[in-house]
Amino acid sequence: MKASNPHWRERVVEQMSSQLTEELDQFETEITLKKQGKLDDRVFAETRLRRGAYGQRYDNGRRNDGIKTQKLEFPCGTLTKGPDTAWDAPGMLRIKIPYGGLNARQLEVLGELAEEYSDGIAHVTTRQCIQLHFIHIDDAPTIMRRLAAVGITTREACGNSVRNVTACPFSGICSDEAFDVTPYAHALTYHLLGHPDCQNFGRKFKPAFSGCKDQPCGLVKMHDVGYIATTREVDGKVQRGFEMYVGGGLGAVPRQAKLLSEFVSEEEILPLTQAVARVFGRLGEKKNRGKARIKFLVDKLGIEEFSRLVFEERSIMEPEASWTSYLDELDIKDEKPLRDAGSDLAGNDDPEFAKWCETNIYQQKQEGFVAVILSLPLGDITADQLRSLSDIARKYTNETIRTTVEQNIILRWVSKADVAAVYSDLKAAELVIPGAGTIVDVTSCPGTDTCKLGISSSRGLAAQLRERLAEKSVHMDQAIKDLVIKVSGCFNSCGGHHVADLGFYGVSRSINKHSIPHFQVVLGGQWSHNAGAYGLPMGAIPSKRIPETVDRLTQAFLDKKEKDESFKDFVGRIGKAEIKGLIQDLTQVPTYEEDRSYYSDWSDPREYTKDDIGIGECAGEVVTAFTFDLTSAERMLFEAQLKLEKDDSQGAAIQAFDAMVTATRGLLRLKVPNVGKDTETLVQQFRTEYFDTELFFDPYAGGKFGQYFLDAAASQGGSVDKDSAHRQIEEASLFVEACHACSGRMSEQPTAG
Amino acid sequence: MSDSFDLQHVNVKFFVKDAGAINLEDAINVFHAWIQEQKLDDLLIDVADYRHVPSGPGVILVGHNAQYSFDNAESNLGILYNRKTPVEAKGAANVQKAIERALEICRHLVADDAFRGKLEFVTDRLQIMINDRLIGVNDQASFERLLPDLTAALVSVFGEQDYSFERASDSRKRLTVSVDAPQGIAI
Ligand code: SF4
Repeated sequence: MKASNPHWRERVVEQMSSQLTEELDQFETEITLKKQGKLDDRVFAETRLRRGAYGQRYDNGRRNDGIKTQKLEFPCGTLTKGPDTAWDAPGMLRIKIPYGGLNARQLEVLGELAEEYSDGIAHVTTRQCIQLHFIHIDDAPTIMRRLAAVGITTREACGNSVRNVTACPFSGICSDEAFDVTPYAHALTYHLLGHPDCQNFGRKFKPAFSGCKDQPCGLVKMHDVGYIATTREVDGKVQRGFEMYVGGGLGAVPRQAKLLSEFVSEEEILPLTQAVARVFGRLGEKKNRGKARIKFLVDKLGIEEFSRLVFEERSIMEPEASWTSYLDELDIKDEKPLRDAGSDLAGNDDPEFAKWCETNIYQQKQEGFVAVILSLPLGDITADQLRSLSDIARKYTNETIRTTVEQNIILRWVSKADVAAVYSDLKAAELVIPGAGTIVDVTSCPGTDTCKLGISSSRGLAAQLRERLAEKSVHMDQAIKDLVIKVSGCFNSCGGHHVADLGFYGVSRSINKHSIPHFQVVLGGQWSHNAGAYGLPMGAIPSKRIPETVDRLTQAFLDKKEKDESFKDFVGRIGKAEIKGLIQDLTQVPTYEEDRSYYSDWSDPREYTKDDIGIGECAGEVVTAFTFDLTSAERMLFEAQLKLEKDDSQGAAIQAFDAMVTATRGLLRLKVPNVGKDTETLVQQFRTEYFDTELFFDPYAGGKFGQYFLDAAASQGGSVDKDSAHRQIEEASLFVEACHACSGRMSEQPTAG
Repeated sequence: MSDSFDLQHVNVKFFVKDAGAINLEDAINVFHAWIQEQKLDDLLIDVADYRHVPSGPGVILVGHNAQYSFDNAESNLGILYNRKTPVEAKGAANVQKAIERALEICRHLVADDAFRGKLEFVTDRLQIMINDRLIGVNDQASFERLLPDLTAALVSVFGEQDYSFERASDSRKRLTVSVDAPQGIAI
């Protein structure tokens, strides 16, 4: 935790948008309220998750040497930041990077934050985000402000919200694409960010864009909602649009996304997605988190009925300017080269250069330019490397940088003439690891290192595999090099094991009262065709024998594959029984007395146990939009009191009225499908739905508290002194309490049948 | 040094003499043992393994107040003490505390069976960093403001000698000072 937090606000506030300034001030107030015991644990947990501040796995006394337990006495005592999560426990901050796009200054700031608040590492995730670990919650607002000052938000990076909008990192430079999806991904990000229609989900909602159907880069079919760029000709004119998919997802129960529409025009893509969000928000499961993703709703209703509901919803939506306004400036995301095109890759005496070029250079569709792929081990990059990369990006390009779902970074628009020089500069920064996109480039979720749900050490295994495969790669057959390995710490599949040739996910087994970390082997998933097929589990192998398993399976593929046969087809042809036979003996575990190394995980000397698994925060708590609105109203009342203390009577009265309006909005959500956007409509809806019907009436006080709101609405704009501001805060507090009571009465009413 | 320059988040790094003699797997084992024993006067929480990152943070023992690591930044292995939470002391006293704390870690490690006879330190150089860009921007003015406190702290820990100081040239870095101690320092 840093001492300097308050001063950063003054330093960066000028560079932040007024909206983010306000939002982050509010978040800081919420932290204050939580510390004062005025905010419920569940609500605060979901509030911080929606700001990207995750709980991180930590021992919390549940694990010591694997056998004993030992309480960690955090100085915070009993203060918590969510259910079962100590205030002082280290946390993770997820930073949304829409479509993976970054500039040089942003890289520098990420490096600064990693050094000052984290452990010196910025981690690229499998959804193009950046994560910082070992963050103290008290530091989160400052980090968010420093990010906001360079145009980055963490808002809705976690929790039951629209997550990072991912896109193919080669968008705009790929010869296979129908067109560049970048401006569409950008527009969708900011249209849905904080949108009222996206605040009432039972779980997360992940969108992805791809420029074409066949390549894997967008992974559209494993997303909640996905878009594949396409064009059609209408009246001799080429029209842009998207094939739109819904209901895909990995996790314990993977689903391929289903086609919602073969062609959604560019004018319709935002409103139709909003309609999907409205249907999901209204009909999606809220109580059972295990069934709350959109894929289950699509399953339950069937794609035809789901589509019908979406298009019906679309037909009644009121137009919003942002649906199409971005189309006038589609070119703002266009990238230009900094340097002239080069005719061919300039030479370099370094013998490693040619080897690196084979795998780490991507030929752009623009003649004379390439994209350089920086392979990051396990997605990790240091602050020094981020600074060096920002220098290189400025020197050779117009800062055209993207993160990838393979946990790498791409530098686009490098002139062929500069490749050798870029290589030298990257080498000085220790950023020239060859083998990008090959079997060596293993991706992994955080697993037991930091994730509360991890069962086995996915990063530990991935690091082992990387090291061993890199040594062998010099003599490796191309067919093996081209395979994809992905590792997840548990069945939730954040590492994407379902769409790899060789996928592994963490499980455990017990023998004679001892636990042994294992990985389930999942074979034959398809990375190409936008994650076109999911692999099948073949059995669990002890973690320490997975490297041998990889050797066996790759050797068998090499020995037995038919010409040009893919690994997926090979697995399908020879069948599960034969594959199992190949690895059956590896399932054996020596006894504890014979070899204790099997009984601890990679890079962890402690005896293996699952006792430190916590409650996952992947989905966050399901907190209704009503609860959020009421919590916001209470925060506003608190801020109104602070204003009054500073003799700002006018500001206090306005804030008190805003609190009433916010509470009203929450209450209306319980009854009205289309809650008004402006205050006047909200007041009117409140009057007709709650006041005139007497639904809001208190059994003892009658309509008194509702009348406070109607009177306050009628008297807005009048002069205010300290006494009247004080009275308005009191009345607003009573009104907010009455909203709580009204909702309680409504939920207690017996339902028909 | 003026009172307004409230030195916090002081980092200290002592460099390992023969990095080749050190297996960082041992560091993981030792740090886990320290957590189990709660060996240091800090709440020890977790071990982070970054051995796969070239010139990276190596292996970190994460505590509530500080991180303690076998740090490999700039391919220069050393023991890094990285203070996270604020401390009561100011100026030279704070720098002195950080140096003493880093020394304590080094001595614990040297005495550990896993490193006995293998872990030795460079005795004529150390590095001091201020891990907060608001407190210490990496420029000449901050450097000059830091020097009196830094010198006083070094003298109080290692005694008088002709210390020389060099600031890291990249202004984007944290305020980082390499200290040369020609007569050597006892670790
Ligand atoms: S797959 Fe499991 S272990 Fe890995 S990040 Fe997801 S929930 Fe955590």
